[in-house]
Amino acid sequence: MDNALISRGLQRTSFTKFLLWILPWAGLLAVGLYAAYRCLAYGLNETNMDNRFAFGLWIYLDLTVIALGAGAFFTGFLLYILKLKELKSVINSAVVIGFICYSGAVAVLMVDVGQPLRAWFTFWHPNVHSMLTEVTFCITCYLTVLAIEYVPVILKHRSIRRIPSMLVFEFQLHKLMVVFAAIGTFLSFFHQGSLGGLYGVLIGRPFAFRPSLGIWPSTFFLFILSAAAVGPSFILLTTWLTSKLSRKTLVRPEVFRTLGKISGMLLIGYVLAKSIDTLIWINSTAPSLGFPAARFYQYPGFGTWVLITEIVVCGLIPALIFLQPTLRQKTAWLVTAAALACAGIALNRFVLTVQTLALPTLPFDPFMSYVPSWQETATFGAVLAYGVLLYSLSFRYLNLFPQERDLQPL
Amino acid sequence: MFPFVYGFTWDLGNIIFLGLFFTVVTLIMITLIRTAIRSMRTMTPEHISEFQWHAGFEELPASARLCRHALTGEAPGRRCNNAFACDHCQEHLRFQHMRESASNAPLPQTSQPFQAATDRFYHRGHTWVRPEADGTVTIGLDPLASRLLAQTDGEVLPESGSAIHRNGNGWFVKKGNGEIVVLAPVSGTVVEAGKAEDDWKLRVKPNSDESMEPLLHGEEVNAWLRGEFERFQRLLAVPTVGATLADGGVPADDLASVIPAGMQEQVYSDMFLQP
Repeated sequence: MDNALISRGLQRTSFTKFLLWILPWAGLLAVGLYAAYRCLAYGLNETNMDNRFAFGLWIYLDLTVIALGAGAFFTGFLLYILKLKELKSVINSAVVIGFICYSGAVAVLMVDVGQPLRAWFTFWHPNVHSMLTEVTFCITCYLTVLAIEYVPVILKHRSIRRIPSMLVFEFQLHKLMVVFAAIGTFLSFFHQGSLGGLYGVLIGRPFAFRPSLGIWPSTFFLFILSAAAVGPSFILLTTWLTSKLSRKTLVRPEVFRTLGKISGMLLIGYVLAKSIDTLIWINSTAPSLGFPAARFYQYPGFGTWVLITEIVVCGLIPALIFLQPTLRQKTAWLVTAAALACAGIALNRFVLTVQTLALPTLPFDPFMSYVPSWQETATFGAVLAYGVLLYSLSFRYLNLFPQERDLQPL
Repeated sequence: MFPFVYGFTWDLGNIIFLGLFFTVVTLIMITLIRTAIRSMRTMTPEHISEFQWHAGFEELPASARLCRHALTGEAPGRRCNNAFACDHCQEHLRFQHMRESASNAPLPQTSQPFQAATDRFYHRGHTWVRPEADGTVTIGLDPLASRLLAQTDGEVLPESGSAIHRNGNGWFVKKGNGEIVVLAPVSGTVVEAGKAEDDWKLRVKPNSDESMEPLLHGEEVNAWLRGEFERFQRLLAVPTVGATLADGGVPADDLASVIPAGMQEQVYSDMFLQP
């Protein structure tokens, strides 16, 4: 039915099967959009957030998807700036994933601020000393850059490139992609960092507060490093998942190995930095603020296992798998390590967003628990559904994996 | 954000932060404007043909992108990543140099479905170019294309004086409800369109800087045509059976008659390297 829209030489499932795949996601998106409408129409009391839990599921989602979406900037940096040509086979997919992650994050933020029509205030009256201002400016600019990077992938579609002006524009835009890769790297460096810095400067929250290195707290640098480390892992994971779901070989095994090696090298650096940071925090920062670090881990469900899982199980172990040449030869190990690394970053963002706010800081404070409302959960689900839908459509109709054609059996 | 906005102060933080922000925005704008200007400058038929060819080339199946040195056995299995622009390919130069310094061992003799004339150059889009004594070249269809287009519903040939561009549209062949674009093997000005009794379709005055280097010539032609005929047969293979090749016999004069109706568009698109 839609064969004329599918790229030449690519085989895709029948339109009926594709429809059956996207229908449940479309349903989830519809429910989520209704939930978001309720939040915008009736206010944020539709959520379970309050003055204490001002950051909830949505901010956790934002931090996680922005970290996972770092694969877009980092792959672009490696391909266009460092000329690592092997990554050309995943750059289109990385751009689409980056665009989905950032546009999803911005969409949720628009609901989260409660008054999206006043969102422009932050640009018009910026408080340049606020980490959030930097995040807002950088994310907006970077989403624009990602949209520009997405344009050539769309314009290359067979039916669009028949229009000469589109063909020529795509060709010329592609030639200048190195500029956008450089801008994306610059912007990502700062907003990934500022998202971490946001927690590091919370002196009233000793669980998150970190001393400054220069003008930024250590979490600024840890966030940059962790996002850069996990970005390639997420690209690896999504490529493998797409390959399994579509039953197609999309990239050569060497590409998985390269992504794993890059992720491993950065991840081991991150684990080292995070361990040093944690030791300084346990022995110096937290006690100096009147809190022995052990006190933060005495609450049920939030014991030291969280810290060990984050640093060892989801940090050190995947890094060692990635860096072991014999294990790197096997896709199953690479995928396991990538999944662990991605889970680790999600856990790290959860700890900083939810655990930080749950822990009491005053003698009369209780340990707070927070369970998101169905509206928050449904909006979260809508972002997930939006991502799956956009990626599925892109995979079906665009040329996300240039090596795919050559890897199909005759 | 701007000095005229309420609350703005000329402090260092504002200057650095907003300075960086406006630099990024300006850089994005300049790059987009530069793209637009470059696009306007290159909106010429020659560039459009070139871009179309490059975009389409990336989507060609691997079997259609075999390097000419793979055909001769010098680089088995090698795929072209240079849009068949051998005149700009460093590897082609290297192979040529190696060929000149090596003894000229002829290719092993194998059965040939077609015998290609040796006095001409061949384009991968199944056309040939024959240099004529008056400095023009004549362009025609190779033996495989002639059989694929044995029965047509008409042709639209370019008028005398019009320009054609290598790898761009040469002429159009109407077949049923569809139209097949035959790619131009050289760039130049059309001098004359061929008549029905001629073995050529166009007589062209090539551009002064036109090189025949990207075109196949000599013994590589028959190897390429044999591979193309096998590719054609594989396109028609029943998926459940896999690739099966005929054993013996000669190709029919009207090969199009064996293409199932539902596959015609795909087969012509693949064989004629439609952009």
